[in-house]
Amino acid sequence: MAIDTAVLTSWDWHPAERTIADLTSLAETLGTIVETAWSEDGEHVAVVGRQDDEYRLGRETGALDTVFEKLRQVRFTPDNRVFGLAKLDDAWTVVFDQEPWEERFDFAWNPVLSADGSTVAVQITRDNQCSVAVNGTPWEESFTALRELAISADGKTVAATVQTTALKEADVPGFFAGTWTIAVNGTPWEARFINTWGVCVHPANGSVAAEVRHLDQTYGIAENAKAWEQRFGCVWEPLFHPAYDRVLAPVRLGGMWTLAENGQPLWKGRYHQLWRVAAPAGNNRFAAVVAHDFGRWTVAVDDAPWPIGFSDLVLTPCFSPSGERVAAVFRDAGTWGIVVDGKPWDHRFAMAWDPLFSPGGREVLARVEVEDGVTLALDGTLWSARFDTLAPPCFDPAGERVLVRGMRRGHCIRQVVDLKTLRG
Amino acid sequence: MTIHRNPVDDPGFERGLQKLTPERLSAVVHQVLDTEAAARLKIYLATCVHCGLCSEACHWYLSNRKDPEYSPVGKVKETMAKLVELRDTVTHDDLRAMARIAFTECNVCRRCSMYCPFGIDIAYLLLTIRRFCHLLGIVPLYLQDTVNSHSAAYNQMWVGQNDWIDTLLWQEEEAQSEVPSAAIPLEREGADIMYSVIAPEPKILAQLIGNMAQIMAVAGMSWTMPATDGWDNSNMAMFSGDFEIMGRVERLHWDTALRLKVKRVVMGECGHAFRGSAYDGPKWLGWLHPPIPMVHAVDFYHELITSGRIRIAKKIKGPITLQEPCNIVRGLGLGEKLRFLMNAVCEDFRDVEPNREHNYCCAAGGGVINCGPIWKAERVRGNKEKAKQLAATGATTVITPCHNCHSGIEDIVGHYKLGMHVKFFSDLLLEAMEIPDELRG
Repeated sequence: MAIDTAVLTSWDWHPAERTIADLTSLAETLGTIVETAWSEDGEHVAVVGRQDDEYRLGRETGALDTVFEKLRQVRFTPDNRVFGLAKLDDAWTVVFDQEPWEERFDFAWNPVLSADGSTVAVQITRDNQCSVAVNGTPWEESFTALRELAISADGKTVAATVQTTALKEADVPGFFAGTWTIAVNGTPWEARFINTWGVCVHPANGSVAAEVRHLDQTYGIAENAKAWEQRFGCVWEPLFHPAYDRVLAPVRLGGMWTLAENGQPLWKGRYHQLWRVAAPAGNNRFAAVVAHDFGRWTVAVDDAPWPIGFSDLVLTPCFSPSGERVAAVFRDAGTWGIVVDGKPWDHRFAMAWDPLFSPGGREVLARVEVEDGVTLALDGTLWSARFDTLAPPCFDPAGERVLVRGMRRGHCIRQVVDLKTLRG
Repeated sequence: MTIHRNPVDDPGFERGLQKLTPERLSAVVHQVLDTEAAARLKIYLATCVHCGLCSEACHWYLSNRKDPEYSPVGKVKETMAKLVELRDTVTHDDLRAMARIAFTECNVCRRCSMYCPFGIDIAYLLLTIRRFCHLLGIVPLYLQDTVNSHSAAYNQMWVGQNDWIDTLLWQEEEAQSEVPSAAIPLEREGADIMYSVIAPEPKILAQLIGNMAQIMAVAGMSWTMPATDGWDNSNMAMFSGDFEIMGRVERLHWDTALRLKVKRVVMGECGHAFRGSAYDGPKWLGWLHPPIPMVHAVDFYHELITSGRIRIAKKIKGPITLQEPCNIVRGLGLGEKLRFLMNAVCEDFRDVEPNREHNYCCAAGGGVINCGPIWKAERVRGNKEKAKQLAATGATTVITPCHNCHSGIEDIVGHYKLGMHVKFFSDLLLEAMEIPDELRG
């Protein structure tokens, strides 16, 4: 989800470079630095240090006091609190700025944060049963297994794929009788399926959809506990349009793939593959990665594949804020690149991350790895600066400057650069 | 022709047969023979002249007193040729026999294709029978349970996500007891390598992950492992004929690597997992080749030693021989690199005969060992030839850089009393490699 303009405006956009943290110095008190995380505004850094068998959290200002048996997957919330998974007294929980939740679990993993930062949900086990803890409170229901977790933007809806019946070893008939469903805020749907996967939550209205394998082994999509009537040879995960009440999913018909809505093919095109569906908040469009020829990959926007194709892969399409333009990462003959509206940049890279459009949609920015480090490329032009790693960049609300959060020789550097500088 | 085999009752076969309707049978025959297989199948069947040259290539044939029923051409005659002839008039007894032959008496190792004058992919014909049986629900019980695990847990042994992560944290500690700077970096975006393994490693052979943590630390590699599903590169759905689940498993494996922004995937010592990740899976998904490079552990160890990242401090004593995984030797051509490794770490490497692409299968691969304890006695009997081959080396240790080979060879070693230890190559490498003093802490 895009960061709110009012929040963005409050950040420091003065063109300057500042060192936020010196990891070498932090390592003197924290030991080996095993994780590093940036705040969204680039003003703060959190690190996890390991010394012998002890783990401690550090901020840019220094090491914090609490010692953990384990500490992992630390991240910032949008309001700059740090949270992570911690092991204390041989039990796992979530800590916020060193403060653990009261509840402890046999194990806790896969913390997900709602886009508004209000809610953290985490998968947990207790007494060999699986469940979810939301902001420190476990669901009342627990399950034999629970494997995927999704959360709405406001954190009010948390959904998971769950197995509701325990099976003995090699109980194949029992498995095919259907033991999997979706649990929403702890309550499982009534229907049971052989499998459920790809659970997703509408970012605004809390509707839940998922892939299902029916008891006759055909595949379909279920939305809010009701399955599409139509069955398919296979499906991939559904997607809610962020601004419209629509759920779409790739489906396999007669050995070829297309995009379907409410069980009916929406696109006329039939492809050797179709996945990585994306939709913009700005308008009512869809894009997907397709193989229109076997082994040739491109982007189709509203069922119109770009004429260009790539041999290795194309990653999920990224829309401009208005939804008019589309860009994507590709890999072709072993090198990575960025393609925008069907036209690839000239440069090829050792790695490329998802492209980002400026607020007005004119410019495209991407993190890329070249021979001597990681940098940014703006509309295909490489910036001269080099880093060891870069966090995702961010445009200012006017689309004139970019916030860079990078690591260089053990220093965490916050830098604001204008587009002219990026272009060299 | 009656199949003269020891009777074996597999509840997985009966489950499907009990529910089978004539309409379903007819529909599946049409789907498999007329749409999915089509021209390739017809060409193979029309080309075969029944010369029998494939017979001597099959370890099942050799191990069963050269009974023609176990020859590849004999197996095709009793399965695909019969199905093409009878279509939806096949009987339940025919289907039982087809399932038994296709799932439990062919390792789809493709040795027979090398001896076929026309290069017919006989394994493809047997795999197509498996696809047919899968669609009818006639699959060995334990193989189906393994596929169910793939479908529900994205790994082949029902490993929970919590157990997976906990095992990695534990093995990191184990590795650090030998090499204090060793780590198993979880979810490290932008690492060069994602290391993926198969489910027996976290489930029963966790030390192999710790072995790799030490090897990576000594070699100074940039690597990561996922803390999510997508870490298991194995794929028994490929062998049960459930291509939809096969594709799903492979998709997540590759998507996990792409999410972590790694340059390549290095996989542990397993043969079929390479085949699934590099060939069968990608093809079903629409790729001509894996989206980023896939490197088998044997290839990776070779790279580490030849580049000087790993130095051999001492060679292992005692006679040691080798089991060559079909999917990476016959399928990928790693025979020479494997011998380089063996000679690099062993004082007394005893090669087998025949070897390299001509080597015999372990009889466990192709999903056969996953058919479970019900079929173990038949499987072990079906590879007496391998036991003879290994015994002839006089070795006391056999290296198996593949999990299926490892389990299959252990069964043969036990049954035929070969008196050998069965090890993975990383066990040898860990013993032989130099750990610099500065890394010992």
